[in-house]
Amino acid sequence: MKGKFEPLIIAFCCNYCPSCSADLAESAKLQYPPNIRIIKVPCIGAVGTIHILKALENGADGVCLMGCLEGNCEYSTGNFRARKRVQYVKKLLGKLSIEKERLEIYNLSAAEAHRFCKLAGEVTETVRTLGPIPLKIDNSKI
Amino acid sequence: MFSNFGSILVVGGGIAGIQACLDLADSGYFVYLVEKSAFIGGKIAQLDKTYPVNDCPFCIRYNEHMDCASHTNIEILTLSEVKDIKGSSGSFKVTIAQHPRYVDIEKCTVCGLCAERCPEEVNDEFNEGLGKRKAVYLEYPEAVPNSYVIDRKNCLHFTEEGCNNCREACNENAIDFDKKEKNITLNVGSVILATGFDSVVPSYCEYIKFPNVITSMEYERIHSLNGPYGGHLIRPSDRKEPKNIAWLQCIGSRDMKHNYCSTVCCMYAVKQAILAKRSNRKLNTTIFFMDMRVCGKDYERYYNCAKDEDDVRFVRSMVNSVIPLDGTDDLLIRYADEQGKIFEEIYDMVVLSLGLEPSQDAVKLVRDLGISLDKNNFVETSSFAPVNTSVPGIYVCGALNAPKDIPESITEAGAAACASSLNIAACKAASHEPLEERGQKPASTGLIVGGGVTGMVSCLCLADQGYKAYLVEKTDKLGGHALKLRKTFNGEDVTSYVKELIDKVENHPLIDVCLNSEVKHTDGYAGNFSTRIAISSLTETKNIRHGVTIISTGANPLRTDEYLYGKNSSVLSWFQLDKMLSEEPNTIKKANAWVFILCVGSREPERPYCSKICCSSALRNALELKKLNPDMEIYVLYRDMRTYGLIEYLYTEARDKGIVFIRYELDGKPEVDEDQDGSLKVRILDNLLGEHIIIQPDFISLQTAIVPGNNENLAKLFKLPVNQDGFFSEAHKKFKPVEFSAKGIYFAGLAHYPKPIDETISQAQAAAAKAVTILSKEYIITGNEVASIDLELCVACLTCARICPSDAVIINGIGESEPYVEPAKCRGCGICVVECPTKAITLEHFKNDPILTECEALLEPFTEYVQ
Amino acid sequence: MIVGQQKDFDEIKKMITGYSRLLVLGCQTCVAVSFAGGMREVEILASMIRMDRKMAGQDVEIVEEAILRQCDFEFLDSVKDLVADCDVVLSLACGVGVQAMAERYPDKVILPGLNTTFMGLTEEMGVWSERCAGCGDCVLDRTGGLCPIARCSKGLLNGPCGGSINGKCEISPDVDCVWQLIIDRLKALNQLEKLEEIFPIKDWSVSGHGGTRKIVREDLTA
Repeated sequence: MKGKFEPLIIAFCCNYCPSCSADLAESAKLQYPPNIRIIKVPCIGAVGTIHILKALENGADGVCLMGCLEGNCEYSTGNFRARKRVQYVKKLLGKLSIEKERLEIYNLSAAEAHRFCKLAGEVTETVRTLGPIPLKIDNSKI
Repeated sequence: MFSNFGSILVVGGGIAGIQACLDLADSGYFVYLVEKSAFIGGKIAQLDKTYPVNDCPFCIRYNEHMDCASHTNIEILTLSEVKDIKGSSGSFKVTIAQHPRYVDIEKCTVCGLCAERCPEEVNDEFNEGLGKRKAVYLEYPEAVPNSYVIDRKNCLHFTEEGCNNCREACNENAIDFDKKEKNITLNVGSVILATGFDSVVPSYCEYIKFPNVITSMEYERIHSLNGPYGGHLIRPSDRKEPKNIAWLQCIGSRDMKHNYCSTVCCMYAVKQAILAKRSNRKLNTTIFFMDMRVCGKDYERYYNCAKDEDDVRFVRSMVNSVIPLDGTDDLLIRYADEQGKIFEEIYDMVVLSLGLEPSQDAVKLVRDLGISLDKNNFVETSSFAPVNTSVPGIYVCGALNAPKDIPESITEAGAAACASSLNIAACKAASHEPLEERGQKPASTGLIVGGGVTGMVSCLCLADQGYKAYLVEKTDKLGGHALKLRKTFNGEDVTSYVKELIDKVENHPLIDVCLNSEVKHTDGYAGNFSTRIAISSLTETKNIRHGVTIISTGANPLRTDEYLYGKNSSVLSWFQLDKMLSEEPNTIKKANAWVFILCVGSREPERPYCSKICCSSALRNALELKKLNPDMEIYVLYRDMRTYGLIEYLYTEARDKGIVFIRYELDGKPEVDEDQDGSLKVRILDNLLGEHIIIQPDFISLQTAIVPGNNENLAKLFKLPVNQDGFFSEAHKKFKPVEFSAKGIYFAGLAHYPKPIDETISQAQAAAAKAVTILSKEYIITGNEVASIDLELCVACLTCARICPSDAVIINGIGESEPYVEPAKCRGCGICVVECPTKAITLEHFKNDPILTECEALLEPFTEYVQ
Repeated sequence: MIVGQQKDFDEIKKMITGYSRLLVLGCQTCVAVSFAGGMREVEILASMIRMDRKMAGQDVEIVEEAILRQCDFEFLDSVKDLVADCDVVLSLACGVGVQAMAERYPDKVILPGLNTTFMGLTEEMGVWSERCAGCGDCVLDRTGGLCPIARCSKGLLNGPCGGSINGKCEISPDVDCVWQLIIDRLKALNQLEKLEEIFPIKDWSVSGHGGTRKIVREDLTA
């Protein structure tokens, strides 16, 4: 890994609003960092602890969850579940001495292409400042 | 393009027009949507937040805009104007002029290169002139249709010959300056007018030209994140953050020229003030108003919150003048309080709460069509047919027939969809396309709970479209409270309307009326419900299968013990007055004085909501009394006179007829006493005089609060949410006024919130329109992915049943410990999959966890690289 | 149902120090229902251990498996080969399961990943509470179906004590005084007179104080 560190971020996007915003961003040719890899999920509540952990374990430097606006979940409480889950996983990351800032959750509507890009930029910048996930540094030393 | 008398034309692509299109198209009708501008959506995208929920209106409606654009049953004609409509109900011939867009929608990739190269900058209407746009433009990034448009009026190619910059810049070859205006002829069965409103800028309002005096819509744009200042609350003249903002209410409403109330201004001003306060706690916000008319569902709470928590200042006053202060951009406001004392205050910014008037372009068309208009050019409708114009086959919804809020506009759109489809029901099959060939056929039957006006109207809407309807009523007769009412606020005869309605319902071959009956149990999902009804005349219960349910259980007037009610027989309730008017005119003729007390039990700490109909009903009855006995002194004791919309006409009339209005505050309620002979005495503080006065009326009429019926039982049975006041809660306060979050169940009428009969009827029609979207489907649509449980791994821990948001996991209990997922209810959210502690659940078609698989696939190349 | 709770990750980490081939073995019955030992938790714990080892630059190989019940020898046989291939088994079963594993595989180190907490029920999603102390001499007939041994902080048989304040136990305002509940319930059942009778001294010999308990049913034994 030479040169400037470019983080890899997995963004779980609810298929309802946030994915629309992401698609809209793409169709409007709005720029968001290529570091963001989007996985569309039927509801943000369907993203489990295991998915977040596996993403980090398998090489992502950061994970973000993008759910619908509060009160606007197609399945009524999926985004609340996700918010609680993120709090729980942040605790687990604490146990592993991994920075909690590598994981974040946002609420997004279907028409916020600009905000999607802005958030994507912010997440990338946060993780870039944190550097590569400690898993990789040690791995590369071996 | 095919012609079809089975199709419907919707004029106006704003919020009401789009909703009408979707309700019709989802029921299988073909719809043409004609929109005068280049984009659909109307004013919704300009609004910053909605009240009373403070969420982003456009964000929520965007899906509907997209649905409208992609629906196979909807054809959108933008930049189009209706020139002429000939023919009659069932077979109209419509001539439309479509102006060229000059940009090919199919080819445009919204890359924006054209606008970059365009040299001509003009004021941006979307930002109310506070920003600039090019002559080739996209209104906002998410605009639908998502394609640029050339504004011919300003384009240099047309104005100064020869500029071809945009055409040269376009890589897709999407720009063609040679496109010409097209005339289109359509054959349609019905027409819905939904052309919306314009803001009124009254001629007396000269101060609007001062830079820091802005209109309410300009304020919306300033406060919007995508607005000209990026959501930063600054004033136009010097781009400084204001420290004091004043809102002036009733600008262009309730004046000599526009003698009606614009309905929405109080609430939007409260919202703007709350949001301003929340963005900057130190800001001083003042609203100058006459009456605070916040009569919608949860609006009073919002207003209380503004007063008590957000510290917005409310000043009941008349503003005399707004004067610019020399040497600054600040403004001096001179106003008179209730006693007529003059005050002066200085503000950095003044927001004018502009009223609404019918869209001026539409008025000409409407007049040409021979549709009756009222004195303010609103389309005339009757309370009993709230969306029918005077021309059969032409319907109206939204702000064109009276100023109204978003939920009422959406409701009317549904009602117009329902009414207009009745014209052409016979032709429908021709253009009907099944959406998905999967699953079972829905039961083509509706269950309506509650046999008042609402229930009966919904029943008839369904039955007239060919669906069977069961009407369950717990008492021994149909009609509900409307049986005891005489007249609407317009003076229309309720008694004979209800009689006629009952007659139609009882004699309709497709309606099965179950009196003295109640729902005992219900189960199932949209398209396939099964409900058990106990009918007192039968010893057994009756089971029915139905596709939809409409709840229309109504509400009741509060039984109060205030103001000697129940102790003195001259203190009357709602219905006692109605009864007296029809049965005892002679008693009325002998009375010398009459007092109406408003807000009895409403807008109080234990019932913090407005009952909406009391002001108008009191005024209607006061005028009736005055007609019977012109010499009688009538006093109306009120807190805010909430004669919203065109009901304001009634208030004007009442004042002209000499009815006396005395305002009181919650902490200065009128005191009612009786002498030993039973004669009444009312003592009240007159705010104008500043002293107590005593009235000795013959009768006192109490406008008691409207309280919800016993909804808890029904709520439990149908698993429906109820709000803090006991009324049922809709799926979204603004945009889904007749829907519950559960699919296939709708509600209407006073079970939702107190409302007058016209709004009740349009809700009943709207609920029926929604119901038809389910009943008309060839198949019950199930999601593509359905959860399934591996019973080998399942330990029946019940986690899935506990958390399923769709109630799709069924536990049968005795003898069957294994849970089962009902495919028609499961919407494939995947929440149970991830929560199942034994990992026994998968979404069908996926053996492995699809999220994990995709995640690993995305990361695989990277992992290898690292290791 | 037996309710368990996963041990703190630091404790588990310490326990498995030095082992590089792990079998994380879940139990899909009681402790799965309390989200402590089912397959879902096995995967999460395994992932955390792998990440932790990666960060420390240590190799680890983890096999993730779960069986229907670790407290029955017959089920344990299905993981024979997996057990043979690993250095250590981290069992996410209750204490019974861990001991059954240790008994069945005497040569293998079996470590407990959970604390077996109590016998109780799911109050609502994510909330479990104790209901039974397994005292061997049930008194629920006399206490309105509410157990004072498991649910009274002092295990009083003739309560409530002076620490019952407004229906709550003095140990915490969040804990109901079970004696208050017993009285309320008996009142509702019109059986308050049951409390007139003083509970005699309870026989604790059947509750484990008399040594490890065992039940033998002659009619069922081979």
